[in-house]
Amino acid sequence: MLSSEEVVIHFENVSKSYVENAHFSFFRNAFSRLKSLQFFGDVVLKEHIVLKNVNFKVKKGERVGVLGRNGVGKSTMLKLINGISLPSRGKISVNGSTGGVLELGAGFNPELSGRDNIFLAGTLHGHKIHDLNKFVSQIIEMAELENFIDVPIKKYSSGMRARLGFAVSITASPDIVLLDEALAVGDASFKEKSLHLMHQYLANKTVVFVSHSEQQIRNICDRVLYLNQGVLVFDGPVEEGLQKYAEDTKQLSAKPKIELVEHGSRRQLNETPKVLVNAVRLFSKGRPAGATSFRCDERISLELLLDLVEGFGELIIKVRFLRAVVGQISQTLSESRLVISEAELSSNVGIQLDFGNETLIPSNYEVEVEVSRSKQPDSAMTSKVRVPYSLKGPRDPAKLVGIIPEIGTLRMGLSFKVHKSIKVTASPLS
Amino acid sequence: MFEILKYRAMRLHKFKDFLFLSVRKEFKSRYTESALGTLWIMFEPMILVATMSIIFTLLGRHGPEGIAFPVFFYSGILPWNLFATCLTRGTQVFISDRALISKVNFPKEISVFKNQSVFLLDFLFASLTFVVILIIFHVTPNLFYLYLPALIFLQVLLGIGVMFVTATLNVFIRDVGILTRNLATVWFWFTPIIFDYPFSGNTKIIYYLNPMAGIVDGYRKIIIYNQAPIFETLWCALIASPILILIGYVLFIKKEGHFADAL
Repeated sequence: MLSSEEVVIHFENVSKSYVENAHFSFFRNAFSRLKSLQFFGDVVLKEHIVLKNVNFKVKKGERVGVLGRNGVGKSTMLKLINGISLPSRGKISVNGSTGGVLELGAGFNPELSGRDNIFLAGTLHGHKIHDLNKFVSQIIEMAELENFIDVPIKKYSSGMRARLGFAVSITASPDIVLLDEALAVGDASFKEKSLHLMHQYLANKTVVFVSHSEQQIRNICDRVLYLNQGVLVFDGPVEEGLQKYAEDTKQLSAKPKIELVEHGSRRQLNETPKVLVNAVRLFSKGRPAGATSFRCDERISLELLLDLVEGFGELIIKVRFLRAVVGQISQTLSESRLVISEAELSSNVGIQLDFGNETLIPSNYEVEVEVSRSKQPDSAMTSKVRVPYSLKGPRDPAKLVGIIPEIGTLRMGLSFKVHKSIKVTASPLS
Repeated sequence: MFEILKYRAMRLHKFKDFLFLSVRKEFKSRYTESALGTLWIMFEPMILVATMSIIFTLLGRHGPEGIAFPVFFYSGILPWNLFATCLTRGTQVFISDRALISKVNFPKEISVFKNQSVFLLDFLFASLTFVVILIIFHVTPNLFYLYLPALIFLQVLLGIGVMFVTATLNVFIRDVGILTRNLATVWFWFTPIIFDYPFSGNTKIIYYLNPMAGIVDGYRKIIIYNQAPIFETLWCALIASPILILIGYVLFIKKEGHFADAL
């Protein structure tokens, strides 16, 4: 189809900077001179550059993730696309209506009922009252607010308000969806539903998605833009972009600092490490160490390689399984604890844990291993590593990512079988 | 230029339901917030007129030419309040819609029109009490009352012009809001609300450079003196309104793209 080649967002040499006193500068400078009693000399204008010469095109139906650390201009970019803010230099063309969960709950008035607010926020997005009449019951049902819809929303809980905002945003249905982190709202059960709806909603739409979460970007996007200090440093495939971003981030956080480095990479600790997780790898029969994708019915082995300094007493190993869900902090599914005494281990050991995932549906998960000493387990002696993995088929009817039915009955088929005192040689595992 | 205006008019038309609902929201939330709700709009000028009437009766002063003071005062204070609200609260229209402007791309003119509509409705509500006063003082309506809508319309235009200029400036220079508030206090005394200034000849021409003097005079001519409003007093308002709207709207169009950054 020709229309799929249609460019809907086009940034040409776009720069954005904020200049202090940029507007009506004559008066404002006069006022500031008056205020500081500085009548002579030049007034220095402070310029704060947010975006520098950004060029990119987004075609219809593309889902573009925007990566970057805080304050590199990601949200500014969304504002520019949305037309809320104008570029200082360059040209932006946007073809189609824009909107999104960016403005979740914008236009809500606390004194008015939920129903009135649906109309108010709906018309704020340019819809007619007449059209909204058709959607209002659908919105109420989606937000699960049937019993509260005629109550002023100042009496709503923040979750209820978020649900209403979400339902209105989804129904507003613009051509180009701009998302700023918030993908799922409400309590656990509503989050499931909102994610489900979000995926349905995003199908066949052009999406620009700002996020810090690699998981979310992987789940949603088919291309990433990576901004670093206002410059577009990468524009291309998701994995490549994420890798570049991770590398840059790692460099920045290389200083000894208690910080979690994701994806099984080595974790740096303060000063003299007493316990250090050298590596965590997942494997199974027929899959090499470091695999990240498994089948539901497969038994997975976790290999843990530790660097130990003598005198640690007992080692406490906590293994936590989490579900990585788009748009939210990973949710802990189960946690197990394992204590191994010093006598049972010698330095530089590998520990192997086996676990099954029979009760889980195909989705993205994370396994977190936290190792600490029994004596004075302060944070400097705790080492934590998280490894993501995904489960695929055979249960594949649910195309949607991360939806687990019957969340209450969820159990993890986890059983530890510790293969103690595995001497590890210098060569990599397996 | 024409293209821009056409595009803007179309966009405004698309959002007219939002304008309608926002005005309704204003009244609804005001109604639920305070016990008396909208009734306050009627009581407020009444309190003032009662106080003034008592003081001026004690001072032995009446309205000019034997006109009852409440009738004289009310016919001045009502239009003045409408104008003064535009001058003071009007400067805040974009600032108070900050949450929307920095998040949603909608025609920002709506902030002005929404507030002007609310101010106008307040004015009409307050006028209901004036009707009561007119009945009490046996003032009977006449054919010249048909001029009233035109005069109100002129005032609305003037208010919109003032708001576009001051509210746009106030987004970037917050001092403007404070300035206009003080200006309103001074302006009040240069408008024939409590006193009817006995100017004549050249001084009169200068006096009616104040558009509000002309408008208040117009209302009085219609309501009290059974006359049509005259160009001699109204000319400034007639000229100032379109000029202010033009300047204000051009200023607004030039600067509205930067509102979100400045707010």
